[in-house]
Amino acid sequence: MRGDKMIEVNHLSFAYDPAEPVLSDICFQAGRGETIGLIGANGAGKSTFLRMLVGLELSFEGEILIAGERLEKKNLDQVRSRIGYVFQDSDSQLFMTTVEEDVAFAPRNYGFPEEEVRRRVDMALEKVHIEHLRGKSIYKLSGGEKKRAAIATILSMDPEVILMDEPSAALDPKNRRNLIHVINGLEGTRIIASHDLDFIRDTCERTVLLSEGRIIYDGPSQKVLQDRELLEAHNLELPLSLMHVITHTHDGSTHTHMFVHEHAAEHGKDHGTGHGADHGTGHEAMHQADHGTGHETEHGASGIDD
Amino acid sequence: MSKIDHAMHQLHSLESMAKEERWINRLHPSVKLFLTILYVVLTVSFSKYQLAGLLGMVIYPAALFIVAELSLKDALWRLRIVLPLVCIVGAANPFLDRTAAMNLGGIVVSGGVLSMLSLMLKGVLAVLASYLLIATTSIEKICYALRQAHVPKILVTEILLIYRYITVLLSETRRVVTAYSLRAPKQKGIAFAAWGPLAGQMLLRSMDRAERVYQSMCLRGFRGEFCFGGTGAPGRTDVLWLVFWTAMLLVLRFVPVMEIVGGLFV
Ligand SMILES: Nc1ncnc2c1ncn2[C@@H]1O[C@H](COP(=O)(O)OP(=O)(O)O)[C@@H](O)[C@H]1O
Ligand SMILES: [Mg+2]
Repeated sequence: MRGDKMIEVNHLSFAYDPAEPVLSDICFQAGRGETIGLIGANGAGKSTFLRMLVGLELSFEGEILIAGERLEKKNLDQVRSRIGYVFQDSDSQLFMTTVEEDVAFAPRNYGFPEEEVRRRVDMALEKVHIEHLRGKSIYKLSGGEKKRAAIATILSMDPEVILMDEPSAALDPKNRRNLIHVINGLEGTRIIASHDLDFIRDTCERTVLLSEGRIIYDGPSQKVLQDRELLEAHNLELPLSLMHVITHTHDGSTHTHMFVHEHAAEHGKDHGTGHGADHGTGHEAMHQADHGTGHETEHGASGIDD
Repeated sequence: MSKIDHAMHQLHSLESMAKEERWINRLHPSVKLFLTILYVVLTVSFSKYQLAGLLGMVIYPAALFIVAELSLKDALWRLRIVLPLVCIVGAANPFLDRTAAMNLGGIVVSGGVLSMLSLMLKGVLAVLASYLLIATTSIEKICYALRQAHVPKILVTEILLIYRYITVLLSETRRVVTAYSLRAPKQKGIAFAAWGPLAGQMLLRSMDRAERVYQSMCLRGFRGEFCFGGTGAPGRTDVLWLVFWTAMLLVLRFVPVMEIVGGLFV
């Protein structure tokens, strides 16, 4: 094993069709226990990158090392046993009849005795807070429950790396908040691909910005997520949580305005070392939008003085 | 509910029935599988005129329906498509075989009628016995029992994958049909001209889904064989149940119980 690096990607290039490269010369490293956001517009290559890390596409150039081991066809099983991949579409991930059976699928395949399988199932269900759904039919789960069940199916493998493709897609605000809570409670190296920048902001200290198959930025989330120019240049928008709401009463009626937050660094969560770079154009009115990330309350206190 | 929803619902309700915490569901799957096969073989092996003996075989499914607290009405409703098919098999016999075989208080029953009735009964009993197995045993457990019985693993895996694929195909079909009917709201059913593209769509989408499901399986250590949670060796209840019913079924098959019982009253 080489040092503390869990994932090492050197000069990775890949194309489904030789005429259209999807990933070009990617160099990337992830340490143990790091949580990394992978952002980028639709078609940037996020899903493809994650799929490559678990060896679902093997015809690439360059090299991928997982815990110091080179990802190749011959050690695929070994490498995959260290990595859990959460599909964007939970329906593809869950295929057994009940939650319990599905969560037990991986440890059984890895040949653990039934007692250990049960222990792992208990542990996985507990980590995502769905012990009560144990015997429930997959068919009867709600979207949020399915997502958590899907995460449990890979937690039972006790993976060192967890990859998630658009985990917050199609979740309502409450389930989204629950999921953030779940993800922040996990251990191991986590890579979360998403174009939901608020979600990344709440879960990842480090962010990689992918655009047209290239890494444009790799550093503290804090910094890139408020770099409006950079984000817009790559078809992304500032996280909504970086705007805040000012409500005031005027002539007896209540007015609500949304502003770009200039002191984002004051945000309650530890977002690494980034400082509130003064991008954005200041007090620009924005349209009211769906929050639901729990920021309303946090910001209500810290941002009203703006 | 659309027909597809209904089909999915049926499939899932059967599945959840098999998952319920009933005493009979917990019996060792190998025991249940063995008894079901034994039952079907013995039932089918009656000669075509042995209607009386065959009637004795009703005891097994009847007892199971009672013990498992399953509703016979639900079963017949679920099997409403299969049962008539099974019954059709012997329907021509009365016309082919007109030799008198029995005299019931002055009414002569021909061999054809007798063999038709026994064929129908055989079919219905075999179907009911299989239904009882499925309703009390999950597909995983049945497959586990098949593996225990040394059925080749490729065959068992195939059964399970096809079973999974049915669900995938049904749900993709539902999506495509819903999308279609939303854009053709006044239409009942699907226009003939749209069948081709829709079928193609469905096939592609379900293949896509199936591939992703398969990938998700491989990523979780699937190497071509399902590993079923070991149910362990059969316990004392399992053995008792097995011995009791094996003996019972053999007696019902080879001892003319019904005739003896009937003889007592004559
Ligand atoms: N199976 C595939 N075959 C061919 N091209 C694909 C396939 N999957 C994705 N692509 C292409 O690769 C590019 C990157 O896709 P993807 O990794 O899914 O992006 P993202 O997840 O960032 O939205 C897109 O241009 C997409 O059209
Ligand atoms: Mg994607």
